[in-house]
Amino acid sequence: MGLGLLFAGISGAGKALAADAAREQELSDRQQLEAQRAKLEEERALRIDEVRRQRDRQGAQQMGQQISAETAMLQNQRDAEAINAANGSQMSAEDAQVLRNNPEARKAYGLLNSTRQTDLEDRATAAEKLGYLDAARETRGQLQTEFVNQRSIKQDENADKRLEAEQKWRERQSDLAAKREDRMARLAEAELGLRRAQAAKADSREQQAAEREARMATVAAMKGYETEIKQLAKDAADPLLAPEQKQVIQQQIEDARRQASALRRTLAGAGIEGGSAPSKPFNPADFPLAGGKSGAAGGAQRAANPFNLGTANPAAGEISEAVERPRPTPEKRLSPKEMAVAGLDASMQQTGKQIAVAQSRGDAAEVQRLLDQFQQQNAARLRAMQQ
Amino acid sequence: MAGLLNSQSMQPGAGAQPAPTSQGQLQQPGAQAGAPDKQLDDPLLIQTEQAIEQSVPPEHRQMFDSIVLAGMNVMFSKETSSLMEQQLDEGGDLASNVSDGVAKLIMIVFNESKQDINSFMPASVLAAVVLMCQALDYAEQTRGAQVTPEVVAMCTKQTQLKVLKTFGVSEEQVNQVAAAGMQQMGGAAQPQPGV
Repeated sequence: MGLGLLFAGISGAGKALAADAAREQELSDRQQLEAQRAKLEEERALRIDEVRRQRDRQGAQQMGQQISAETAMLQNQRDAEAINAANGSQMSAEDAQVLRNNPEARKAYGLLNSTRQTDLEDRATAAEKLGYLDAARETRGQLQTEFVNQRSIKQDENADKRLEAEQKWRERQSDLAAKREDRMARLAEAELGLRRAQAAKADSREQQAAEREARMATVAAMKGYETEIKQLAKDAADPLLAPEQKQVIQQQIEDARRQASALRRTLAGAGIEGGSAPSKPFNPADFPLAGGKSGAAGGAQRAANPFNLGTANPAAGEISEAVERPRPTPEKRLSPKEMAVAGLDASMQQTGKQIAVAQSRGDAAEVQRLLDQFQQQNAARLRAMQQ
Repeated sequence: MAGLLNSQSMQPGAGAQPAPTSQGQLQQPGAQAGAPDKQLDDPLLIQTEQAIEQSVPPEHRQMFDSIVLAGMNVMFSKETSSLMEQQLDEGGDLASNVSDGVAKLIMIVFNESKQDINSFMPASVLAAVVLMCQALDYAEQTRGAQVTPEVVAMCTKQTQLKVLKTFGVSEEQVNQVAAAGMQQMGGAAQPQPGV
């Protein structure tokens, strides 16, 4: 009996072991199954993702094609309407399709070629018409960005143009100033030559040559001012120059007008118009120097005595009364003798002032030289008066 | 057994008893919006699958699992997934396409498995419904198909009938068996899920 119980116990244990092994095997199978199932679920997710992406791509492509077709139709319709309005024809949008890629035909019909901006605008309109609002919004955003970029580029270009215009204006200003200085220098030289000829009692031929040169220099100066006024007027109309620069130009125009007007009066008073021959005897007093230095300031104020006859060196000190003599007024018509005397008077006055300046400076050598010159001028004057 | 749908909730040592799961436990935490989940997306299909899983008799469990795995392998592996794509793109309504496709799939699995029909067929009818849920979910996520309770019900009925038909069981025979069963149970037969 004991053995029976033992055997029963052993058999029971064996069965329990077998049951445990079966359960473990079942668990193992279950886990393996789950692993396989999980792997297949992942594959399913991957396939779904792939198909979605592909369909999205196809959808986008189809949308793009639809929008392009609608855009072309809108543009064709617009072209057809333009042609029909101009010619009274009845062209349809389909007929206008043939003109799309034919620049000569478009030109012949007077159609404008589309730009990138008009294309984008048309695409946005077509997308809205087809109900693709997101695509339309994106296209309008792109259009806006391009507008902003173009505006910025244009602003930069305009800034460059303004700088260039200003640079050129400054160069012209410099050129005008240089020419003005040349004219004034020529005028002054002509005047000096005239006075020298008179002081040296040159013959009539030399005096006439000096007169002619003075006349021509005055005419050149006047015409120079007129040319300057024209150039300045062009500069004033330049939209790229700054307002403050235009104010400067206006001031220069006014100064130049005053100078030219003074010279014109001088020439008219001397009976001389432009380059024509004099109609009355030459009188140096009729040729005042209008502006002794570059720049247009103060010319009108010197018109009454524009050649600075009798005026001292502007930096001179006190004028010696011994050399002051009454000057003939420009309106009085002098004889050649009187003109020569007047010229010598003016020269002597100038020398006197220079003497005063040299004395104030303490330059004894210069004073002596000027005194010698004064005596020569005085002797020449006496000879002129005795003629 | 329902833990097959959620490997995270599988309890070791649960044996053959189906582990109760709730719908919320089937959602993987941290899943991104719009990205395909590793489990079914549609709650109706999840519910249908769970019901089938719970109704599988223990003697058919192993065969059932094998058929489901084999069917999913054919549906979703890179080499053979085009078959399902072609079937879903065929003309006609969704229920017809899916039920035709699942019936063909079951026949493919049967031919490859070389199993005895008597042991294969009962499990295959239930496994076909699970595969049908997988296909409907796939169609919903990739094609935007509308999976309504009516569609699920009709598709389930058509799938089961077509699978039985492939094994030579006609619809009249099915109706006869169903009627006999109801008679036997005194008219209180438990309704099959999805029919």
